[in-house]
Amino acid sequence: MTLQQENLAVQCRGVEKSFGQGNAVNHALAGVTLDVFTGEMLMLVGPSGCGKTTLLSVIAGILNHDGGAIHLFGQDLLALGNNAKARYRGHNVGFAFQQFNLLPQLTAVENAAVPLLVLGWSRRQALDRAGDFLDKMGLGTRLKSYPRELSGGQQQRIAFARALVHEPRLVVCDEPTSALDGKTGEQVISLLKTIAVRPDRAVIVVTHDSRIFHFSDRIAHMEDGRIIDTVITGTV
Amino acid sequence: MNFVALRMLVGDRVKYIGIIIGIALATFLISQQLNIFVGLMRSTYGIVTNISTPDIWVTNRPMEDVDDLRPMSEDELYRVKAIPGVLWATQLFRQAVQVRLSDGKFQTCLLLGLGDQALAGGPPKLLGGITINALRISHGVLVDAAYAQDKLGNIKPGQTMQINGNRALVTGLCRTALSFQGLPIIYTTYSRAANWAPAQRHQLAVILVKARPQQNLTVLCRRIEQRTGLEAYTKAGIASKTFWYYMKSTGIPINFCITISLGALVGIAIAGQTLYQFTHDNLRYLGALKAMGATDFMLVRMVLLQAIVTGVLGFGIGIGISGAANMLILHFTPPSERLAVFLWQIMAVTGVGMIFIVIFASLFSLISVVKLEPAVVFK
Ligand SMILES: Nc1ncnc2c1ncn2[C@@H]1O[C@H](COP(=O)(O)OP(=O)(O)OP(=O)(O)O)[C@@H](O)[C@H]1O
Ligand SMILES: [Mg+2]
Repeated sequence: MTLQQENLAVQCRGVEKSFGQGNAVNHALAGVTLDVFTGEMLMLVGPSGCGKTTLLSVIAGILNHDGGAIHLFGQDLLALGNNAKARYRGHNVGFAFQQFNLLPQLTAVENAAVPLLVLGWSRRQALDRAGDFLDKMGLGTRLKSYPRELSGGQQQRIAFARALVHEPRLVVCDEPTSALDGKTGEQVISLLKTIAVRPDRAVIVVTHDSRIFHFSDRIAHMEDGRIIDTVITGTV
Repeated sequence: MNFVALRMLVGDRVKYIGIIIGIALATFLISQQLNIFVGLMRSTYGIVTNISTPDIWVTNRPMEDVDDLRPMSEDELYRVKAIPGVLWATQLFRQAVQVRLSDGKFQTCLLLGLGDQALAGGPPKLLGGITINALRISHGVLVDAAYAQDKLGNIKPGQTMQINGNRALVTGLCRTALSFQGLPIIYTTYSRAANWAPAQRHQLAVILVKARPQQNLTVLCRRIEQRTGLEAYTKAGIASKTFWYYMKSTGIPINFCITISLGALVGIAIAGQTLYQFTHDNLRYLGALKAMGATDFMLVRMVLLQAIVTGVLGFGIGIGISGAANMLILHFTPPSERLAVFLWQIMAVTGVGMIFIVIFASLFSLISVVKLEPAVVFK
């Protein structure tokens, strides 16, 4: 892993975001400066309410910041209209959520195929591709299962497959292990580390879970809407 | 994404069925009411169909409604005949009479007398291969087959009845359009009708006019009105005049409007509320789709597809029920009272109405989808 300019995936400079108005205003992000590089798994940690989810949302382009600048692979997301931004996310960002957010009416393989369908792939090709992916993640026998028939760890693996199936350059995960028991959490993160981290891709994981810190390449500590330090933990 | 939308819909069976039921109910109510309404309003000018008018129909002034004509003097016929553009004109007798059937019962009927020479103004359809000349047989009358069966003691050709004490011989059967007043119609010649009916100062109800070829009918109507002071109408003109008379002067349209709007409201309420609830329950997943790059346009298309699929299914079921109900009603009403119609035009109108209802019902869903912040997925 090299922290070099040509590997820059995300560049945040003095990023601000507040919620509410007047006396009730809440500066969730109060000037965040952070670089994230391809080839690394960055963990974003900090106390509850310090702004981790908000930062992840503005980086991934699902929330607009109101101060400072963010560039995602050189692209300023604020410069894009809503639809262009949605398409940009569709091509470049993979999401894994805390609650998994798998569609309950779709099977495992259909859920994993959603990002490809959003990109306009034919149903057939999307399902083939998603099936291969789930196979790689050890879910080859559960393709036709519905999320409610699967364990939490299996559901999170489907969610990871969904985050990766369209080969995004940035993957964001919010508390991916908080709904899982410790052992399953570790297994799932280990799997994520193996298949998600690639030289051409950046992975950001927001977490509270100190048991998984050792999977990170770098940890950014956040407090009160700011990054207070970043520590290299991986093998550089 | 279409199949994702459909799977989401079908996966939520309760709401899916709820939306379909709402739309089916609305379709049924609206199409059923429209069928009865159109049947009823069509019957208001049934008499116009039953007096096959050559070109123009002339009556005494003022005429509001074809069932309420004021007879005029026989001299008017000759004045009308003399008007340029008139090829020929013939008189029509029209009066309600008491008919005594073979079983001794009485039935009020509408006696129509056709001008003796031309016998113009006869029924729209003759049955059993007869011609209007069946009226030339002495004492001859023609009756509607359905009425003959239901209201005239199942009378058959060759049998007789008494009209004001005069012997009338059924020489043929015909088919007439149902009329609003529902009286059986008896056709005979003008002179016989005038003889049989109770004497009145004037006997002539309608003058039927055939125009010369190439004569503009509207122009001829105006000319007849100017020269005689009578009222003259084309066939379409008299039908629409009567139709609008009933539309304006009776509570029928309002009542039907109320029922039809209620049907639409029920549909919008049930379908709209359930559809909204459905979208609302799925907002979290729609938000996830949005985060994963689905544009507003894609999500709107998904919601509309869900609305249209339930709409089409609900409409089909509603029309099916409506058709079945119609068949039941037909089965249990005698032919002479079968007012309700089942027209493809009404299905089409109801279908268009349902499209609006479905779009209206999905409006709130669409708004919430477009306003949805993708950031909700991390909440
Ligand atoms: N949509 C919102 N409206 C108002 N305030 C918000 C909104 N989203 C976040 N906040 C506030 O912004 C601050 C940062 O929230 P955020 O969710 O980013 O914290 P977090 O670090 O992810 O916390 P946790 O570890 O509990 O998930 C909090 O004070 C939160 O209440
Ligand atoms: Mg959070």
